[in-house]
Amino acid sequence: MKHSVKRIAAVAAFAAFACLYAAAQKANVTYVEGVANIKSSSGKLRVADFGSQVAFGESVITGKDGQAELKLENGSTIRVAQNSVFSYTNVGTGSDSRQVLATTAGKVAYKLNKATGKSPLIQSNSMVAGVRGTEFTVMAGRDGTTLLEVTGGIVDVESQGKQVTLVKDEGVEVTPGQAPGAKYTRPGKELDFSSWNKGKIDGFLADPVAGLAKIETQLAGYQKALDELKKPFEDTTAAWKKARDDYKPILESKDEAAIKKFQEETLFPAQDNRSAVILTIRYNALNYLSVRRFVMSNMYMELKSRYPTSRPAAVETFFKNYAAMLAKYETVAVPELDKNDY
Amino acid sequence: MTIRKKVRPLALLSAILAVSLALLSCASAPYAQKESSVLKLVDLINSGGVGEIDGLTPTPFALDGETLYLDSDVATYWANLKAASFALTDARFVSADHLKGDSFKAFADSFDMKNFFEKYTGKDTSLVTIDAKEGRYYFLLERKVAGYPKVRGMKGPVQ
Repeated sequence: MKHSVKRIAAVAAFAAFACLYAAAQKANVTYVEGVANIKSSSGKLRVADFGSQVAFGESVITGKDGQAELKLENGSTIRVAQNSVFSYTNVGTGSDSRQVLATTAGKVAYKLNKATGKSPLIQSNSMVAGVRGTEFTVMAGRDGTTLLEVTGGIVDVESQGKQVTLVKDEGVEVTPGQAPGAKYTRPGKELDFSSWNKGKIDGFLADPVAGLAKIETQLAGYQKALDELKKPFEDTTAAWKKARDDYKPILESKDEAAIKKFQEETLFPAQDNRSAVILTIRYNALNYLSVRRFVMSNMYMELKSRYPTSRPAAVETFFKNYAAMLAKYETVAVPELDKNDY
Repeated sequence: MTIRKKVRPLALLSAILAVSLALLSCASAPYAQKESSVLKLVDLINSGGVGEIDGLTPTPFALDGETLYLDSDVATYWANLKAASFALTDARFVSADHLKGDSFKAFADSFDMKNFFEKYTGKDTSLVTIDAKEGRYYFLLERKVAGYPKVRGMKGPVQ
């Protein structure tokens, strides 16, 4: 408990730092049609309008007739279709910082210019992708499946440690918790998201227990990453505390040269190392939250509303397994989140 | 005569002040749900008409311990209930309470619901309890839309 409190305090302190950093990293809303809202990092919703800015940690959520277009500082454009969620975050610190452009639900089309720094990381609930000045569309099905189609440039799609490289007019589907499927050649006409998504939901409804098991595998990956980060967090925290303690007498000596030397060689690197670990912990915890929020909730809604009072055995098993997964979420991910993440 | 002239403006001022205060207190008082309005909503749910009224069930929407963020998800929820001929049988109004610090536990004692209640409910949101043949239902209801209480969340049936 004490450990969690300390971690939360560290997360809060780092979030404050991240907010300051994020002030310079914003996407501008350049077009809005119908209903589109921006969900702030504190969970508040505001209407997306021409000229609105979207900062790291924020999401764009469109309504049934809504769509929005955003422009990044380098001129890249992001088009969020109706009934979709696009999340804008970052991972890494300082020169290692990297934008994360996530299609959490629905359909988002990207036209990315070559970045001056690190290229953005493209993400969904079941894959990550690296891009090099490219044009592509990501569809995030409500069962957690992702479909990515490239219309220009090169995209490396990765899931469960396996990678597929896509070039112009190629696409791939990634099922949660599984490696990318076989790549295919795009048909001339753009795939209709609604039909594709309906097929995914129908597939889930045909075997909800199996559908939930795939999500459990996906979440196990985030849990493994979080478990593996516990030791680095303890080590970097211990190193940072030692540096902080060692710094006190140097500071009291008022020896400007010694202070600067210690800061540059010991204190600041210790702070940076710890911050990087904390950001990676948060990255994995937020991925966990995203799957729980946008995939699991939808699965729950679909079955609850179809079987509001009496349930067949398979649906009963789904809800039993679901409850166990929620209990795990509370113990695995929630300790790494704060209320502003909700 | 002189006194009357002085009293009249004073009395008028007092009256305006009293009316203003009364209006202000009405505006700031938490909205209370009436049994008749709640039962009217139940009839609408039972007839499958909830999805036909724009803005009646806005997002974010609490479903048991889940949060639905997309309008399309909420629309699907009501459409599926209608298709399943869902109804609160022999519904009986039990209570309508203003929210307290631990009201979220009626939906789920979880991180998500605690934050949902903190962020997406307000002084005009009531926790309404209804008993039906299938079990107990909880609703989060707010000021009216098109003559019905706006629904911010629903849980149940709880056996």
